[in-house]
Amino acid sequence: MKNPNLQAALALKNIFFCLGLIFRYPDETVYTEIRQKLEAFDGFFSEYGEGLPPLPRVSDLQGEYVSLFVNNKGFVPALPYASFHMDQGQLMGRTYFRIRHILEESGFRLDASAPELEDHLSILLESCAALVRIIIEKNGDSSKCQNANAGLLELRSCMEHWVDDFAEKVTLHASMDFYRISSEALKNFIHDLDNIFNQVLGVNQKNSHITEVNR
Amino acid sequence: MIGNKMTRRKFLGISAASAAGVAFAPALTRVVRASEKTNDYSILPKGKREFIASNCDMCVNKCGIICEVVEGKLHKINPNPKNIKSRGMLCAKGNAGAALPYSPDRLKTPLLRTGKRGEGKWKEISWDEAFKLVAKNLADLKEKYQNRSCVAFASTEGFQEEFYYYLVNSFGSMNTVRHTTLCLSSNIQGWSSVFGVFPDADLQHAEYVIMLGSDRAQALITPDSVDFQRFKPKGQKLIVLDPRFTETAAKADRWYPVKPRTDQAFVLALINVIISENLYDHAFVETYTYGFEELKNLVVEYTPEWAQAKCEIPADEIRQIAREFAYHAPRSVIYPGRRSAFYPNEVYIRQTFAILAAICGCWDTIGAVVPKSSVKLNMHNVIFPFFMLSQPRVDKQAVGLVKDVVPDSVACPMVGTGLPVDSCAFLSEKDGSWGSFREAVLQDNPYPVRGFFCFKQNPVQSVPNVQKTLTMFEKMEFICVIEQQMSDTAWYADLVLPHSTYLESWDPVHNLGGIEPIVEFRQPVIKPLFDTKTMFEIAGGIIHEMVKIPSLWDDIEPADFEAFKKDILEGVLDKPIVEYIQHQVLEYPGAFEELLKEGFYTPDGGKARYGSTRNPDFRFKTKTGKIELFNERYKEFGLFPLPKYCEPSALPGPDQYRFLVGRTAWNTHTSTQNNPYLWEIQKENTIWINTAEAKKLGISQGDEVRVKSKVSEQTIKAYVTEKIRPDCVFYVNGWGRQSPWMSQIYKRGASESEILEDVLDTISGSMCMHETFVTITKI
Repeated sequence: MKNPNLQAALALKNIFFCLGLIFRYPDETVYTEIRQKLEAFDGFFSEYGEGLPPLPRVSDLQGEYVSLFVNNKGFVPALPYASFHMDQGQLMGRTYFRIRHILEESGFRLDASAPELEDHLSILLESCAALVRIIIEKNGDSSKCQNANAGLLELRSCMEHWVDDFAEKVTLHASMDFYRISSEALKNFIHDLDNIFNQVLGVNQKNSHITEVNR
Repeated sequence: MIGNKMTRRKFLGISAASAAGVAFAPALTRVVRASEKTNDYSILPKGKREFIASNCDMCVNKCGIICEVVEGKLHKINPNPKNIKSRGMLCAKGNAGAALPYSPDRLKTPLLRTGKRGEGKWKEISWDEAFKLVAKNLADLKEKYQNRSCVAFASTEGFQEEFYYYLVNSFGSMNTVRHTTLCLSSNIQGWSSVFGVFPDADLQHAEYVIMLGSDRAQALITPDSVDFQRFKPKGQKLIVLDPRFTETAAKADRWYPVKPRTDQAFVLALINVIISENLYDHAFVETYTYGFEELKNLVVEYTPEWAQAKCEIPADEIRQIAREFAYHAPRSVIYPGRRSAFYPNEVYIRQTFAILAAICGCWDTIGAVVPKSSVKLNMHNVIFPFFMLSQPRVDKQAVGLVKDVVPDSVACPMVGTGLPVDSCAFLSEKDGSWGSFREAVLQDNPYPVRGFFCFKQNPVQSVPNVQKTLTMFEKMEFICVIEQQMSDTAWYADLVLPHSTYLESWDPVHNLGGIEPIVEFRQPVIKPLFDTKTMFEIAGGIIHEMVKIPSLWDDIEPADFEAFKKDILEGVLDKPIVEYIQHQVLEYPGAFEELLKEGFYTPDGGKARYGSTRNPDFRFKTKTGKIELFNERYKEFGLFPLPKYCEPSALPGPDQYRFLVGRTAWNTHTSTQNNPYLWEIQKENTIWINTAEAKKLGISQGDEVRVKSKVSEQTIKAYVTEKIRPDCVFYVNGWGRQSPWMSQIYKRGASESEILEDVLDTISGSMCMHETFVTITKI
């Protein structure tokens, strides 16, 4: 494994974290953080999407979030749970347990105050940020961060399976641009991750011992 | 961008200047090092496989279950072979309960409405915010109307319901309305008017069974449905009266497609034959009953020939059934069943059933109807404050309000002054009457009701005449619904509080009634998936916020307020619920451990208790202390004391059909249709219409038809069949849903509550389910 470029790796970690925040329920704290930090990701959104997504008022964003990702007319338009997409429409399916294993093997857990499932898109993205942080801390030493490498590749593979469908549904049902532009950028980013991991972190299938989700 | 693979340099280019330098607030991090504080749920029990005993909550039966949990996930729900109440059985609904916690549609966190009611715009709020909001609204409504009863509380039976009543009684509203007047309240009252209690049928040992309008093969009741399936083939004789050829009718020795609303005529004729042919149990009648001579005089005119003209069952066959019933007595059962009111004289129909059982001595002995047994539990004796600003309930005072919805043919002098309550009807006042409650609220008479709470009840779907219910909601300034899914009622709420599923929570101990004494409870088999709470926690949270608002306590004595905090909060709600449960079974050493292990407890091996009331000195819970064939309380209240037959005030017109409703074995009223496993069995309902009538109307199998009543119309596919009388149509309830959030069933099939008119049973105030006439047209 090549040593990761520190600055690029930090950027990657922050992009994951930022996307995690975007797909998390925008309470006042989350909303304020997005509002304050989003502009720093202008380059990212320009490269992968249509530019920075316009941030609506917090009350509108909250309503949009609930209607797209929590409950809405007829069905939840874009359920953000990996298991739902990969395990025939149920929550806490096989994929959910695999993702929990990945986190545990890498030394992470979900905080007690988070009443959310580990396979929620926002948690997956935040988990990627945490795993990149491990790689940065270990300076890319493959003997010390093999689980993190494998976990990253596996989470990427998992998201890649359903991000197209997810983004398409967001685009179809969104009433404002914020989540539409964000999910489009997310989709493009996830599809490019294989390359980014290799280029930025030196992480690829060859130097990892991963077993893909759903394999 | 797609197609342009990112290079390291390019990635640095887009990100290095800005993204790399961002420092996010550490407090926003949710994925933490394993060494940091973690939810115990996040410790994965790798490879761990457990079997946990609890009890089902997919319908009212509460059958015993053994949950197989693998690595913290509910893998499968199995029947509990030891449970004496459910006889080791678990139905499709019970099995499908495994999908409940994992439903993507379930409510996950408190939701506050941000758009118009019914528009579907919500925001998530924390439980603390929700509790504060509820307390504030209660305080505001109390201040504005100077009457605590301006807030109404609806609920349905369940193990957590007692904690809902902690909330109700802490606020002090008298307006509670339970599900019973949509369910079996008329049945309870009819039987209780004779025996003082509502009994069970010993189908396991009965030799002869008459079922009228009960479809035990489909509308499952344990243990009755299991015993019916098991013991009917062993020689039990079964007579079924039903306008439809049901699954139960298919197993009967004789099925009569009785003319609707004439069941009582049939049973009165049975009584006539049994008395006139001297087939009744003289010793039992003399020792235990009151009013036999009055009964004898009443039924003289109700001959089998008279009944034949009413119910279309041949007189000879009525005589034969009467003789057979008396021959097999006391092992003969006229089945009490468990169903809602069908007709406005429903209490009298049930009173007639009970009288038949009584004169044949088919009471409290093997193979007869038997009073329910119970296990004495250690009660939590809490006393709620007496609030000066609590006015009596609206339906009690609803002077003259219900006369338009009670047919005049069974005219009851009480109608002019409101329906009879407690002392006459034997039911607790807290049950109320949905029909008269809604009328009173709609008319602001005798006072305005402007707040509405609803716990696990779905009146928009379950109370006939949906438009009236929605109009009632428009009057409300605050609606709070506590539910597991976004029900049709929750859809119109201002605040929705997500309740944990029965698989995620502790529930207190409850008696199940039945011939064998048994108590059950629930324990969590999995950890809650989302930010949900139980009613125990919700009541505690709201009441804690209520005690912070002084104006909520200004109409009680200060000492009472202090005692309230000590007894209710510190004494019960602030403690773990497990302590509450342990206290309940304190008298029975080892009972709590038994509950944990088996999910139920029975003090003496679950042996059936027969004969506790067969003692000449026993005092029945009636005015005379005897089994009343002539009801003294009814007489006092100006009601018919005997089951006098009343002609129907209205019959279907030439182009009309009587609209019948019913259940299937795989759905519970309106609560389970959205379950994905059960939806696989049935995806929508269809309307049964007799073949000859369909031909007349040009309707073929599967055609879309319009069903129209006085109050509304629905569209549904036709099921053309010989299995229903030509003058009736039928569909199962629970379909054609209002809430778009019920993803599987939104606008699938047709709703019965849209079609049903609101006609009330004279005595119980129950909604009558078979008193609506409809026209059918092909679309």
